[in-house]
Amino acid sequence: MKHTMAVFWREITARRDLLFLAVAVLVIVLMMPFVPGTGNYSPSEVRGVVSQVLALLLGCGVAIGLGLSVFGADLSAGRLGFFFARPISARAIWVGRILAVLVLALVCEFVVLVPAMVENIGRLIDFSAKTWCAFVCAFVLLPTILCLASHALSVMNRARSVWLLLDLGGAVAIGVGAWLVIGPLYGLGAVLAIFVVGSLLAIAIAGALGVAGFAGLALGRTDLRRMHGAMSLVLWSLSGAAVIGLAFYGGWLRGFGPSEMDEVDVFSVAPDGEWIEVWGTAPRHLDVRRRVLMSSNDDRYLALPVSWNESSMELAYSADGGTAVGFNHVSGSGNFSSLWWLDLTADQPVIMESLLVVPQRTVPGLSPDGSRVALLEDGTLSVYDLVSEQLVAAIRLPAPYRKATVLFHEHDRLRLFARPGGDEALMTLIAEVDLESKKLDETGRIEGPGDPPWMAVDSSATRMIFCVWEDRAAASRCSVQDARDGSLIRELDHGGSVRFLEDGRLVSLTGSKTIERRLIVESADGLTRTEHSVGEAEIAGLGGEALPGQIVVYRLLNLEERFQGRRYDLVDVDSGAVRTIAEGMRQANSGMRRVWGGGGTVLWFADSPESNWIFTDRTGAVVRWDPETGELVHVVGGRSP
Amino acid sequence: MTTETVIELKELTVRYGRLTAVDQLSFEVPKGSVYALLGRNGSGKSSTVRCLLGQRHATAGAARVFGLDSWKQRRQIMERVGVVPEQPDIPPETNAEKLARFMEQVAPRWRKTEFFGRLEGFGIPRKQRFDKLSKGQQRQMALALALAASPSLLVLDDPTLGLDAVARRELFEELIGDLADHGTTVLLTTHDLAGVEGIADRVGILRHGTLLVDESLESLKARFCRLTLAPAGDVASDAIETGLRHLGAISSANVQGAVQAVVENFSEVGFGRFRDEVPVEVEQIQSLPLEEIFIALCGENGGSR
Repeated sequence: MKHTMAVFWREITARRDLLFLAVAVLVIVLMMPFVPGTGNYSPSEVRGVVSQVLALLLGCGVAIGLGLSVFGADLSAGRLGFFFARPISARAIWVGRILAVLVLALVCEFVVLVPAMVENIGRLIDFSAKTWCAFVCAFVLLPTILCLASHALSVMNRARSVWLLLDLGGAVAIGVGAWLVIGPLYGLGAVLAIFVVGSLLAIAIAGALGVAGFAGLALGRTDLRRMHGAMSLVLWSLSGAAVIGLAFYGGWLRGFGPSEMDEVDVFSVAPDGEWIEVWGTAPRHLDVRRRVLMSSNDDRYLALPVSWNESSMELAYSADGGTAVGFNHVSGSGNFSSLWWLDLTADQPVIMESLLVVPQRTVPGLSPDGSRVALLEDGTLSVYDLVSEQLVAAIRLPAPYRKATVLFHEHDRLRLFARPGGDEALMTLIAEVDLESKKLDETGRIEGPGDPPWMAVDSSATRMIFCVWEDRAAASRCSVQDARDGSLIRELDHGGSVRFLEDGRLVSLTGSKTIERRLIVESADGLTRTEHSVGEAEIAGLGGEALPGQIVVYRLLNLEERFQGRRYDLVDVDSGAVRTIAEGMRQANSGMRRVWGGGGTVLWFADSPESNWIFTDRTGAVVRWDPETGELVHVVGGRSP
Repeated sequence: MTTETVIELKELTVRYGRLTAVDQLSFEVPKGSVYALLGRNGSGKSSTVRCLLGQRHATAGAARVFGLDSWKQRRQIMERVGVVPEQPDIPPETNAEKLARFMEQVAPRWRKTEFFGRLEGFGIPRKQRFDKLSKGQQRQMALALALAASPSLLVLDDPTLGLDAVARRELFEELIGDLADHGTTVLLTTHDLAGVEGIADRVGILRHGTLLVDESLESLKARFCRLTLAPAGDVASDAIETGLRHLGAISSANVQGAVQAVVENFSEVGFGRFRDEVPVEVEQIQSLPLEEIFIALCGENGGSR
């Protein structure tokens, strides 16, 4: 220790002139508010920002300069023998000298940083742990790494021995390894995890550089080539071990299953209600959110690939719930994704990669039995057999249909809903595509409206609810139209929340804020009509048909509690009997399959009752409603209160 | 190794890539002696010294100082060793006062007053930066630094390199004075053979990393002599040279009609036999200075064995 301190102080004394440089930069910082062009900002702001920037630049610059010269200059001039000819251990020489140059670099940095600290003295106390970590990383860890790395580079450059090949290979391997550790976390958008793993990696590399530098000095002494060899071997071994260790840690961070999740969001529910797509976090796994497809009945699950710029893309299911498709970003391809699919009828579904590559944001449509997938891309409708990946049909669509919404309602027929631009802008076109003949027939058109309509098709795809906003301030006006040719079946005298029941009847919820909400049930032909009161609510709406003839109605009694969850009741459409399902929850599935496309949103009521039984509660848990007992059965997740 | 042996090298080998700088070198330096390790440039002297000081790892063999492994136990060894390197390695920005403060903390046997006393004797100002001193002063400061640590072993690696004749003489006088005072063991490598001749007890001569000679200076000088012979009658010079080779000549030359030869292990009996066979007249039999022995062994024509 005594020898270390002797070497330390000798080094500090030898290089103390650097402090004059720091003071000179400090004077520049203090003068900055008087520089023309900074008048728009307060002097304290200018000093604060300039002091931080210059402190970091000076700290890093001094660290690099001293790192290059602390041993490098002595090696070049053959003066390193001075220390080795004294009874001083290599450890004392290394620690004393490196510590001295690091202290000098940091002192220079903090001298320049004084104005920023003075300006923000009050805020320093309120700094979060994360801010302190970021501060330490930028102002302490970064100069340390730069200093040690500069020393390593100076030895490599001066020795230029055959060990450079190891250095080159090691640097590439560590770079690739670091990306393999960080990349998947980047893909998940886990910013905190990236910060933590990145910081640990930086600390590990700083440690490796420190130990390697010491090993080089202790084992090489005045022999530069031997120093290079020892340093390189230790550096890349330790860095490699660190990257491997962090790879395990990163894998562990990403590797949790649904049973470990605490806060879970349900993104989609398969039409048969069995499989649910969830994103969830887990305790001690930082902010990593994992995307899995899990069974709501048992503990089977499947991890789904994630690319954070596709995170909003849900799975697309076939109407029978037996097949799902998703996309995986093709790295290096720009905005292209490859399509994969799942056979959800298998005991343990596995991801089946396909060779189909499409632009991102292409919305796939699956045939009702899930054997075919339709992709509308750049005005061409392509239909593939999912298993064989054989092209079934490729049809160049007429201009008005280039951005249509695709409804794949039969195995060999698709329906397109389009809102063309130009002269036909105020019109909704409907067309049928026959895959056998590969022909498109325009089957109907609905005049108007000015704004894109809201359309919902019944499970047989023969009728649809067609709602328009004639005046943005007023409620919507809805009608029942033929979903095949667009012909008007009848106008509805109420807007709001409307949907078809599986038996063909139509239900709607009327009323607006703070008045009594009434559930209107109409027969398919509109000749009979019954009404039931479901109580008052600030916000209310219809969920799915959770049991035959029984529909979910959600209400929010107080708008201020909108983040607390809603109250869900099951209303018997015949008797009007109300049965409470849950309070303070959110239903995972609105009970409708969405079909998106450039032609607007089309909802398709093709889901089974079971798909309406999944809820998330306030603790972030997913629960499944049991219609027989009326209880909510925990499926996954839920943080401790 | 006896307890009186300070330095022991055993089959020390140093390689730089494919180049063998020191090849299985073995010698010992007893306590209190002055050992001069001589050799031409690149003969392996400095590599040997670096290994001995634990600054360079030997490719093979062993170097021990005070019975300690010079690589593994460098720190303990350096407590008792003073070093004057080939090139002064004192940090350039430092001065005598700073150096003394540093040495006080790291060298257990450091004598500050002796250091400053010597510097005063050399006329070196205490506060002058080291890199502002003349070459001679730099070497003198290095020597003062080495001696002030009260070394049991002083290693001088070509300490007179680049010094003028006066400075060289001062350096050796200082060294001799100190040796007289303390009985320190000295290992010296130098090209200043005349300077060595007055102080060395034992000499080792390196050639291409191999030790040609390792013996006391007296014995070495006694082994070599120069014969100056004049041919008698019509004797052929070839016959003289052949006879001289049998006599042990390691070099010979014709100088103004006479033959001059350096003979190793000269004996009167052998010479009498030579004269019986080859009719020559003996003009001179001289003992040789170290420099000429060195040239005979290491020069272009020497070192034939």
